[in-house]
Amino acid sequence: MITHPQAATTATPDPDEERRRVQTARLLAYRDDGPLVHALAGKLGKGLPPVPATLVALLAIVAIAAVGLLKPGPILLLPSLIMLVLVLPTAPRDHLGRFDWLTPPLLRGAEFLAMIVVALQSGAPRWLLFVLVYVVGYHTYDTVYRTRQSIWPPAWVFQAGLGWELRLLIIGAAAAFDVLTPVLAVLTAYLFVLFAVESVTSWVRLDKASAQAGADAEQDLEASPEDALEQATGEADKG
Amino acid sequence: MTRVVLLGSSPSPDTAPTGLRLAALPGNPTVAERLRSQLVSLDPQPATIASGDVAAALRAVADVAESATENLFIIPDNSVVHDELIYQITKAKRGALALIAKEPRPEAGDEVQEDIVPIDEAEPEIGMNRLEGLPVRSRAGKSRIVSVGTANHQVTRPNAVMLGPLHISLRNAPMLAETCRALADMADRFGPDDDLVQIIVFGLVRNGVSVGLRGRRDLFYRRVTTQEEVNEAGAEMAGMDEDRARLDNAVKGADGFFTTYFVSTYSRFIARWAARRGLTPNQVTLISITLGVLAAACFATGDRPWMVAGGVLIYFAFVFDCVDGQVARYARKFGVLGAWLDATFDRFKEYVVFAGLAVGWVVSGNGDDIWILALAAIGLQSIRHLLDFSFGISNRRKPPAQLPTLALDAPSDSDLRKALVRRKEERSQGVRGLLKMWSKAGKYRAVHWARKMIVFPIGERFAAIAITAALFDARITFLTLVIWGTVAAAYTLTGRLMRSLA
Repeated sequence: MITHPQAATTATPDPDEERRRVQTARLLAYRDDGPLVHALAGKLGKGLPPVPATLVALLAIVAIAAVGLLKPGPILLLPSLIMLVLVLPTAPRDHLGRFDWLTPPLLRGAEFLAMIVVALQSGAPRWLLFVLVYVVGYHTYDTVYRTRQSIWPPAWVFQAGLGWELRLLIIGAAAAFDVLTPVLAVLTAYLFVLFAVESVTSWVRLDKASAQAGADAEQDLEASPEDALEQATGEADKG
Repeated sequence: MTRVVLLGSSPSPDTAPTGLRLAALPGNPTVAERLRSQLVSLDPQPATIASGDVAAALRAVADVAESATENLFIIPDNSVVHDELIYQITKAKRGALALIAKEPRPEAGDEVQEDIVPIDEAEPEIGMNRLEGLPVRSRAGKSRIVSVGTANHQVTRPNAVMLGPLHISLRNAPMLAETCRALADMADRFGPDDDLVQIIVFGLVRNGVSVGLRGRRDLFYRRVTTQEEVNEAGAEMAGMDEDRARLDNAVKGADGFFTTYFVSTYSRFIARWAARRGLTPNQVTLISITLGVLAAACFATGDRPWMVAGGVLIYFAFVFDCVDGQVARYARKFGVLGAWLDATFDRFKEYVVFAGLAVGWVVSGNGDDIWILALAAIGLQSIRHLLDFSFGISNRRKPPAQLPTLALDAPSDSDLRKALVRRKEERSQGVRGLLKMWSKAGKYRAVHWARKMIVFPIGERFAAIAITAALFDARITFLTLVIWGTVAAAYTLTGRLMRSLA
């Protein structure tokens, strides 16, 4: 599940601990796991280490695309299956390792690559694919920009957005059955309406004054990661 | 909001400023009246700390800190200060921030004499020099106060004074309370010339709090005790351009090369013009979006004259994109929606232009393979952004670095100094040393700007799009974006992997 940072019910938590928890929740939200991942994550035991598994998936997709294995037909389901087999089992991990921050970009990169190689092979309109990449990208940006102001998108958006795994399954299956163009059109339109309407309504409904107070309490909203580090630790690396 | 703490005059023989009037200002207010009116929007009922008994004053500060639910802003009540300076200090993100003045460096000729002993071998001393009426007993480093002494605590190579204003974020309030109580119990160890703020920072630094520092820069601050000083201060303050300082502060520092030299040189004047005409930041964002969409439409024609027009439009879309943030900071109109709109539509503008370029290429009779390049460009850029965001999280998860501490009753700071040197040596080994060397290379201007450009920041991207689209064609634009973006990704990834390892 998306662990929404709840107001602490117990005694005031250690601020460092609390910060780590909220930031990790954000990192997990960037993965954009969907209903299938959430349904299976609890049943997979320890799971796979996220960075190596996702990296292998990404390289595998690059490899099968490069050797020309992808031809119209059922084989187009393969990239999606690679992702499911290798990346889905990474969900139970806590993502606290020193390199685990690489997971969301690797995962999104692998997702985009799988989408693109499959759709290009099955002859779907390329502009439509571009729009789908933008819409999925928008959802990720939206998650980032809202959570950094401590305004969390509701958990149902991540479910209704289908997650990377169902999106890839749908695209892979549609390509395998040679019906990708209509499916891509419907999927893109559905996600566009979903993400756009949810964003707009949530901004209309939001109590902006109290949200501002929460955002002000957050540190360094605009600082680049390196600047943020410098501010947090008091270490200036300026020569 | 902020909890304001007004300090009565310091233990030194200052006189109460109640009767001192700022004749240069409208309404002829007293110094204290003016300061209170400047602070009323932060805290309508500031805590006041009586002067005189240091121990009692420190305990009173501890009481305020203990009950604080907001950040604390401590300032002597005989301060003559610009509004903007109060604003900038209280908006700081540091856990603790002090306003300081550094002792002017000796003339070049004297320096040879003066600096003959390197700092690592310098003996700690009781600072006896004075600067603006305050004893020089603090050692200011590049970004934080390294060490502070008192009349009975030696400090190595003191070079600065705490002018007075001190901002303490809420998370450091418990430490402030604890420190002030401990200091109150040893009040007899301070001299009559030790200033209350200096004593507080002395305690905080020795207890391992990282106290950041800033100078007055282009703004005014002075403590006053006599009518003569008040008159002087009033005249000097009135002679400074506070609005200009405010405007300059609205321009974000640390921008890329293109933004710094081809946008920030004049964008602030558009921002001021917009703010004075009552335009909100969100309206400016809307102008920028409109320009971006128009640019995309121009590119979508595929005709040379329109491509040039599109290049010009996308440049101005970027200018107004910088202006909206500046209007927000200058007019102090911040909003969660504004921040989101700005960021979200930055991405939209960029990607809608990609689409426009691809459409224009196809419309002018070329194949639709261009969409593959467009997909590569949008995919790469999205992933590069996500790399930034995710690495930011890994940084924010790191526990704050601990600074060495020193007992409050240690007579000199030499042990603190040694601990800092040791810490520095530990941090200069292996990967960390390599990273440190690399960041130090930033002092050379060429390296500094080359490093800024290689990461392909937003200004460079918009400039690259504008120039390549206007002069060449969509294919060249996408190739530029993909190649430069790949180099940037490889460069930043290398640095960040090393940082994760360090």
